[in-house]
Amino acid sequence: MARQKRQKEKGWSMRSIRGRDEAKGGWIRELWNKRFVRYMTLTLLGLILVCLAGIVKPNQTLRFEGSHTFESGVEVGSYPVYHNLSLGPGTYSIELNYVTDMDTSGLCALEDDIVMEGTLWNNFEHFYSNLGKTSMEAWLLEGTQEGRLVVSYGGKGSLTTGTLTIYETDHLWTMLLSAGLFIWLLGLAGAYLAVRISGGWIGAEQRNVMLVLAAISLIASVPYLCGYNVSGADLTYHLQRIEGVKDGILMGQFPVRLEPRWVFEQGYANGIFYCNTFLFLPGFLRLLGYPISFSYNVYCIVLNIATVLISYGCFKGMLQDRKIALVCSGLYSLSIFRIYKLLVTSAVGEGTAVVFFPLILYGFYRIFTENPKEGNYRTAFVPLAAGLTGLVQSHVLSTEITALVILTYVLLYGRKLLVKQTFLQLLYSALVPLVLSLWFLVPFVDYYLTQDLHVKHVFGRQIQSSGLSPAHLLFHFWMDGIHTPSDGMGMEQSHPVGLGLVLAVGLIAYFLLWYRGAFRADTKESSGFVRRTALVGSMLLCMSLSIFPWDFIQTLHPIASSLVSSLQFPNRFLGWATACLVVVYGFCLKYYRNHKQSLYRGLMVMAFLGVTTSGMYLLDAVNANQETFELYNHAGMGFGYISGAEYLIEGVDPSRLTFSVARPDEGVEITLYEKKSLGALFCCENKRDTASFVDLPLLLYKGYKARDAKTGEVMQVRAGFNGCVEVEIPPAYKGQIRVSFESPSYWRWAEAISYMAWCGLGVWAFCGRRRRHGK
Amino acid sequence: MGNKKRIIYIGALVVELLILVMLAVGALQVAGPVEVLKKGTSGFRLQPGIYEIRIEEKGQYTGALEISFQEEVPLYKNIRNESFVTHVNSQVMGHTLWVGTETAGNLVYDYESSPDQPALARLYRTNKGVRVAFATFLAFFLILDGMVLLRERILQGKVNRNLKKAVLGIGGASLLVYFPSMTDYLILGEMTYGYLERISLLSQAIQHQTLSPSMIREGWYLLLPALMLHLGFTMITAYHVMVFLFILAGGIGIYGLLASCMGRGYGALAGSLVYQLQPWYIDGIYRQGNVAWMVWMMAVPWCLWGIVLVVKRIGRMRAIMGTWQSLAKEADEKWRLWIVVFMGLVIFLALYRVNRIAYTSGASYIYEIKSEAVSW
Repeated sequence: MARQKRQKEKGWSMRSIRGRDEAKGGWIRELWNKRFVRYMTLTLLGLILVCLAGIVKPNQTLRFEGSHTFESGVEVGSYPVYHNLSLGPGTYSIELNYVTDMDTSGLCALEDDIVMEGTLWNNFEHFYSNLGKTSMEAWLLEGTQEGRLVVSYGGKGSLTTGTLTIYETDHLWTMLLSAGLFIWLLGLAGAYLAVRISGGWIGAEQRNVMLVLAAISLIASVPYLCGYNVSGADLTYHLQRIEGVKDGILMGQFPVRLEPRWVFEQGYANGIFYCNTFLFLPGFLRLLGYPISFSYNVYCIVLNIATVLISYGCFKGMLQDRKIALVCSGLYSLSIFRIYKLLVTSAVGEGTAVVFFPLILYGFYRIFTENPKEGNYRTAFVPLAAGLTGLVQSHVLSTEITALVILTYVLLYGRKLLVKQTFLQLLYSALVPLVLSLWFLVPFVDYYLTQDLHVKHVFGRQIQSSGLSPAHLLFHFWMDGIHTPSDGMGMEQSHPVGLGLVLAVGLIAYFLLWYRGAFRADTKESSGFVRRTALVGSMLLCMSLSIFPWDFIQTLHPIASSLVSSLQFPNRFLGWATACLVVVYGFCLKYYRNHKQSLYRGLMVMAFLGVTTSGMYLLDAVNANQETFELYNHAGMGFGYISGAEYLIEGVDPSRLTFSVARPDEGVEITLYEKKSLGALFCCENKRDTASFVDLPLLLYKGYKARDAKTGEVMQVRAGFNGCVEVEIPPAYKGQIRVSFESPSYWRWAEAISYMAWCGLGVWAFCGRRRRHGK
Repeated sequence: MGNKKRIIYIGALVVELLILVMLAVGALQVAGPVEVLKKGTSGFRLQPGIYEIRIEEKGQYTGALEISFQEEVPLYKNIRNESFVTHVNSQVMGHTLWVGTETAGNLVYDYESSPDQPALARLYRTNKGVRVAFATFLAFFLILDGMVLLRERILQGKVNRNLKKAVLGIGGASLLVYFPSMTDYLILGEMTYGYLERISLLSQAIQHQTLSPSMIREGWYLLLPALMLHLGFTMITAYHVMVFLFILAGGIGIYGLLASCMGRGYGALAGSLVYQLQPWYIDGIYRQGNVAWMVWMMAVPWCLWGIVLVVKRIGRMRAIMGTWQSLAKEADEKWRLWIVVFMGLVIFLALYRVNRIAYTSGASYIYEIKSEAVSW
């Protein structure tokens, strides 16, 4: 009673107090009392039983004998090498043996005319001379008696198909089980929400906020709900990354350093340089059996939801107003830059980084505006540390830009650094991400310093010609466009690289307010923060323009040249500029809310109109005009696309990389050869009395070890033909050699430190929560 | 104004004056051309500035001669107008190079025929660079000082609220119409190139002091860009400045006219927005590239404003205008919300139009035109 009295004194209604107490004590019981929840749980249990039975049941293997030789020089399209295949609903792995003397001489796919449209999912798979069999997956949602395996032959080289083996897999059941679990969790969350609402815990305003946040997430996610992928320039690259995570986990790597099947199963060091922490979600979905398009779309939807929620939380923290935070969240989540990056170019790494910008800004806000003498100030570093950790583990280039932003803020707040608590908070903000990301940073730095990678040789690339004109920044009715701004192209058919008029107007409104002395009487720390944010935003806008002397800066020093070159496009600065200007817009709204209601409403209406006529207009235009496709697994997109080949060893010719076998030197005879994931096992005999070698189809990176399988004796490994792993075979050697990729011990130490730090952080957060509740 | 502030302002003014005086002296001192290159293809270094390449002997080449300056380390737009073609019968042999930062490179001749007959080209450093810097700084300081003065007046509450709205409205609308030109290139309408040639001819006439009364009579509105060209600005800058000034002047004129009829309310602002943002006006500027049309659209409101001011001096008319103004004020207050909504709609439609123009128009980088036409 005494507590209720205290709470009542604080202005809480009795309904909300009761609701809170009930919710605290018995919300699980109340949830279980709902009939809907009980039925749903029972249904889930039934589904689990069915799925477990399906998984336990032995899988079918169908084998079809036959052979067909295609006449050389005669082009054949969709020839059914096997027909009348009888298959039940399920997921299958299709293995067609073939012999060809040329890469991509033909391709094969599973087809069917009698099943309903959209119930057979699979892509064509190419034939490679050194592969000998396909490994494609097919999803069949409806049984068929008339399935057929078709082969298209280009007429070049020889091609003979052989035995067909179809393996049934458990993926149908794992997919069903996970979908059931997801729906159950969703239903449970809905029921929990209903309990909280009926208990008076969630007020009308909060309900409306949740509804609008859900609407923003839904609008941003529309292109990912259409069952296809909008084809951006980087889409295949990121799909390869997802597939790489799946393959890496399947083959026992954690964390995934080298994607084992990428670059024709020769292994690519993408995971070392481009952290794939967040891709574990789509990678896990792939492991469950979902097609890659679906996994990618789910990831993008999660990104949208995360952006909406995190940005809302951060803007609310800064602006202390739900409505304004909502508007800002909408402006940010549906900003031109996000849509351009995530949808038009499918730059999912940068799209992930964008999620953390508001968190970092909120971190700055807390560290620089809160009173260091207050108790809460101890946790001021948390948003900044969390944002930086997420950023480092999602996109390195965005981290580079963020470092510049941090440096600018620190310079602008120079005097505050002399305050001990503030300095300590900043130090924690730097140290925590460093330790939490040590598992990624150590291999990154190790490879960057010790490996002669192609990415280190691109410092001469100039970026200024890809800069924007001021008109780009103010453009409102963007469409998908056909080219990124470059020398002499102007704005004609330009990609949507802009800020959006609304944010530009917000910035102008802020400067006009400042110009007429609106903030002169305001001594709050927050007005100082927004002034600096407006300055940083303006600086970043200038840096995205073609008039900014990037080319000149590159001539000053090789390090500057390398850093600038790595940025690739000045439009990357728009991401941070958008975040800063949304904050500025929010503060303008807050100012007008307190001083002039008519303009407050006007700006609110403008934000709404701006989002609908710019962001949503662009989303719709891209979804309608840009090319789309559906990819289901690795085979559909090939094994070789590596974008700019940044992480290949310098000198390796990417055009000569393909599926290959072990190539022994003269005098060496290989009697057994087995290709492994990032490794190989082979028996060989060196008949010469001098050392010889065997070239393996693996790209040589630091970490490959060759050992005698019996004695464990280490053998020398060096770079061979086109950067492949070359194992030196001692004179008159006869035996079995195992080659594998082994992470250096200091990588493992770094991983251990990071894992311990994560655990420590969890304990600290848990204890903090208990302490707060105890109070 | 506090003493501290006054000292800062005076200090800033002194710095501005010093910069201007130094530039002015520099412009006077570097009056004569400085020869940098004598002949043929060779590596040499250029300091920032504006240069002129003159073909002083044609040699024996018989066709077109393409000359370009190739930088050793090419920097984006560091040298503007870096390549040009001159023909055998051409009477115009001078071409301008704008160099942004110090650079090294080669002058490359590319003959269409007779490759072994080199011509003699000389590269001169002109004093145009200092003149451009002087003019730019002068304009910048004038705008800056004007803004500082205006801010002081605003802070002292000496600026009328309606006037602030008008400045914001007209400035905003002018920027909106000007939006497709916020680039480093020209959008060529149907008639733009003709006007560029005329600007160029006027500039040459100013340079050679052959400006005739007929030229002034028929092309007075092109004198400003011609003068800018003569000073050393590129054609793109000169044309853009002219377009913006016409748009701004048109906005001021129409607002003045409407404000003198209806008072400085929302109605006058809405009317001037409609006038400035009308689609055929925007199309006239960009699709047609009709400078005369821009002048007409600018001048008409000013003429009418003058007439209204004269009419208002007549006693009876003054009374009628007074009644009309009070009616307008009443309507202004009554229909304010709808006027604002209407203005929003007008701005929105204009925004769509200028966005389409920018999105569908090609980029033309014309830094100068060396016209051979001798007749105006």
